[in-house]
Amino acid sequence: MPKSNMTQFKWFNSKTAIIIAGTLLSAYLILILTVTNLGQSRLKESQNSALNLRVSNYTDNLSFFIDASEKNIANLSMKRDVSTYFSNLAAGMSLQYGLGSSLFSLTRTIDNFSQSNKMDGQLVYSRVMIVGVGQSVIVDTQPESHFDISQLPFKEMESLSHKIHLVRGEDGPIIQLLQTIYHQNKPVAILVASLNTDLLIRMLSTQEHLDSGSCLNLVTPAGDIVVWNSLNGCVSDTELGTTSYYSDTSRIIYFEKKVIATPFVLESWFEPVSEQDIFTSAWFIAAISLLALPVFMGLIYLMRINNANLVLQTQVELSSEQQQKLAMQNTQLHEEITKRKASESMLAYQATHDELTNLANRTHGMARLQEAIRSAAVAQTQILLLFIDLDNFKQVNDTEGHHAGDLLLKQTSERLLKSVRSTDIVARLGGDEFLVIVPDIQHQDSAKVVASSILSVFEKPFHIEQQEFFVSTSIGMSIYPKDGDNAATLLKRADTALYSVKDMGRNGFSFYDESMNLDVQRNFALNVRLHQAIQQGDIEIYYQPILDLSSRKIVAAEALMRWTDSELGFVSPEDFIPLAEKNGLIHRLGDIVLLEACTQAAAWQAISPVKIAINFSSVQFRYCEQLQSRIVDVLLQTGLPASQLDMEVTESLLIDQGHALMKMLSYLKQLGVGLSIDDFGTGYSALSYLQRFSFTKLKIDRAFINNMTTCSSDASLVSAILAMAKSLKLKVVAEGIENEQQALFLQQRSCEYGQGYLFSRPVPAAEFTRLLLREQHSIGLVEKVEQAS
Amino acid sequence: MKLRCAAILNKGPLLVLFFFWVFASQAMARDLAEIKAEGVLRHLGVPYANFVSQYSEGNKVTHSGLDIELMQDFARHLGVEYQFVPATWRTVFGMLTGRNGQFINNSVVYGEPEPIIGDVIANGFTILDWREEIVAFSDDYFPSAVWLVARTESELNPIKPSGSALDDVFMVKEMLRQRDIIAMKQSCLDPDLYDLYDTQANVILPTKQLQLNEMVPFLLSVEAEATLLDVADSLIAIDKWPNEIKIIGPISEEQRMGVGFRKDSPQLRQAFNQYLKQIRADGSYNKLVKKHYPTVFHYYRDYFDKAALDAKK
Repeated sequence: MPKSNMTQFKWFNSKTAIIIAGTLLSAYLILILTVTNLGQSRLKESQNSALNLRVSNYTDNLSFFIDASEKNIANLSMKRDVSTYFSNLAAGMSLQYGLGSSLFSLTRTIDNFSQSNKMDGQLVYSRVMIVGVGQSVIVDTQPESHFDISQLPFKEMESLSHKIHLVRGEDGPIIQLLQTIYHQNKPVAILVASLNTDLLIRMLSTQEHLDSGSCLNLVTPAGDIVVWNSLNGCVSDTELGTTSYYSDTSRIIYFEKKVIATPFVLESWFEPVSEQDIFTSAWFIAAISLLALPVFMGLIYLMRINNANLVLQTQVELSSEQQQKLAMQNTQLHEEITKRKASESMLAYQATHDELTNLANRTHGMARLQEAIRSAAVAQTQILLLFIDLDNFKQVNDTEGHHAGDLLLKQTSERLLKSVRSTDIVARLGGDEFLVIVPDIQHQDSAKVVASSILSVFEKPFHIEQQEFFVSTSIGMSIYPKDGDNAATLLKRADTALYSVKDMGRNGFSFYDESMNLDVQRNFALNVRLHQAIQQGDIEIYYQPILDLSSRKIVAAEALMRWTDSELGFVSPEDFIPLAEKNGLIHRLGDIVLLEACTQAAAWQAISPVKIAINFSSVQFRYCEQLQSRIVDVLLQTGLPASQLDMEVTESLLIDQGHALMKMLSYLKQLGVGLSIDDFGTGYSALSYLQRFSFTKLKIDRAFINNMTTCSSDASLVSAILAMAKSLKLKVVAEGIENEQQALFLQQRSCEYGQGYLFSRPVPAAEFTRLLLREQHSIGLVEKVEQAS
Repeated sequence: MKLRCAAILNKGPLLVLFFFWVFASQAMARDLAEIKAEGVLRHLGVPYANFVSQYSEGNKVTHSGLDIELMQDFARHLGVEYQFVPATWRTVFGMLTGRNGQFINNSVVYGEPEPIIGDVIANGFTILDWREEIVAFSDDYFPSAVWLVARTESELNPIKPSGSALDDVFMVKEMLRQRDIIAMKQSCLDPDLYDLYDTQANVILPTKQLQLNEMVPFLLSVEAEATLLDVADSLIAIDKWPNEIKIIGPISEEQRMGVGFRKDSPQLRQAFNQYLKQIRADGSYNKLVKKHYPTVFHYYRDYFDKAALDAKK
């Protein structure tokens, strides 16, 4: 699981869930409490205003009621029957004759008024009277009840039209509405209408309920009228006629409102509703809070359980994490081990195998060989060891570059692997050298078959970078146990056999034999002796005359090295020059020849203006600039004119033509140094270079000259060469002229120069001097003869 | 108050009465049986106080009142149709008996025979002696009297009741010397009925025939000081015109009202008396009275209470 997911997963666990739940619950409870509290205060406010409104409603109603009643009474006082009665009374009419009727009407009217003014089935006026100003009761709706006339304010009413008059009755205050009755603008009577107190009480308590505590008290100057009392603590004092609320609680709602236009005040006490209503009271809040407690306790308990759980979980998580870490490390370790193993095996492979071709390298190859030898020693079998070397790999490498060389090596290894059995071992010893180990070879013929099959592999051309190459190979073979009982010996002997193949002209195979070993030993000895010879100046320079074939006079001398070793005897240049080319001594040898020959030639100039022809190995031209400066130095040093020096190079030099060589040759040409192609016809004979280089001479190889007179094809070749040279304006030197016949043949075909035993063997300098002197002498004789004749 | 109008009745010649009766009996032999046979009771009424009130609204004239209802109930009692026939004081006798009679110079003067149109006269019909010459009255069913009603500003002052009706009448008559007093012939306000001329009062008789309820407006419109007015109208008047009129006192002793029948319809009269007794006994009569004269009990409670009591016997 990815780490981010893990943390996410960790974040949302039971603990956070409980915390969130707890927070939500708390918020919920707080919200409920707040809302409830808010609702309560709102309720209280609204209750207050509702109660206020209620009380106001009461007082307004009462005020309106009294006002309306007063108007009603006033209307009554102006009724026709009233005025009729009083006018008839004033007219002096007697009850018997007329006034009685008016009184009857008046009584009836008052009775009607009293009976008809009803509210909710109750009389509005409990008693209506008309009392004359002479304090006589004219009309009384309740004549049987006692009425104290004296308490009426007659005097006051003379000046007042109406008045709210209060009388203390037996059952509390009585509200009397007084209305003065006028006849012809004089007060004649007072209309007294006592308001029905029960009705008032009922009117002032319409909105009261027994189940809600309230107390209403109408305060009048004549005492209080208890309108409603459903409140504990509201006590009436019957003696004083007052009512009030007595309680130490301050929660009671109290209003005191004046009844407009009356002397009344309505006192009211209300028990707050919230005290009674459990759902909105403080008790409710307390209950909710108390209810919240167990919930919180439960949450805390859950938290504790969860914590314990969490410790376990954490441990489990930790251990699983560690496990995962360990597993990861394990995996990494495994990977590392695998990598290391791989790299080790790679290293081992690299150590034992060739990087380029993936073949076993020399060390491994040798180890395998050793192994095979051990097996073969046990099994009493033979092992064939093939030492393979590509013949012209160097050429490919030099001309096409290392990349091409590498590709060639790769293809070679592939072909080799294809050509051998799977049990055979193929290894690359280095460079273009390969080793094939064939264990369990029956006899020499089988070995030949193997070698032939390998050779045949190279018959097909190699395709490298769109070019086709033909590469031949040389194979040297040694066999265990015949040629050696250890790997080094076997390899060395196979190498020896290989060299013998190379010496024999390559593209072939050879088994090792003892004679080969001798050759090798000789080569080794040669090498050592050549060094000594050079050191000791044992290398002699011989000069072979080059004659003008027509005049048979010496025109030049070819400097040739001769080495006669004290131990080895005469060593042919053909033996030691390739050796010198291989071991680098060629440069010393070349320098020796150049210096000595030039010195000699310079000396000879006094006798005859002979040219000196010196052979240069192509190896010497690897360092063109040094060679050039050396030639110039020697010329200066010896005082030999440059024109008297003739450089003889082989065609093979010109194959590897480079810019530096071109530059050098043209420079020397400018100096006047001649340039000859040696052994013409034996090399590649790509004639195009003849045009590119300004050669002065070409030398036909002795092989052509030897058979020239006997073999017509050679004669034709020589003729052709001569013809070609003529057309290219090159002088031709024929080598190896041994008889006069040959000389004549060449002479006839306009070959300018010739050298060979016919004329002279290569001779030491002194002898050559003599030859020159003798020639000069004979010339001198001839001249003398001529002069004499 | 047991004085009867008959006391002041002028006794006409018996002959005339005889002829009238013969003529009437010959010409109009219509009694209860005939009425029942015909199926209709024709009620003759002169508009007067709340006995027969006449309201005219546009072209429509309706009649209501105590006597209208009484007669309607009576007709229903008889099981016949009810029919109201309006009449005047001058013509009502002829319409009932077939020969009109007028009270002139304290005697009844008969007119020519005429067709009988009604069966009963009921309109607060005061029982007077001269009227008893012409018609037969039922049992009395309503009390009455004639009072003197003066303008408020009149110098005439209401008497203080002495307790004796006769003395009170005397006291009132004493004050009438040289006073302009309105009266009306042929009605219960006829000056001859009360010897008004003897008081040396200046009696004014309206030239036009007036309804009784028109007396007070007439009084208020002319330069008279007082008028005779029956109790029922007086009580209505002092309610109607307070501060303008005042009741001085009685001109007559107490009178009674009854339903007038043809003298040859004794069975009908009998039936009515029977009926009256019945409704008095069951209290429905007093209810009817209270409906139309609510204040009358204030004056005549004794009359109505006693009559009801007698009826129950």
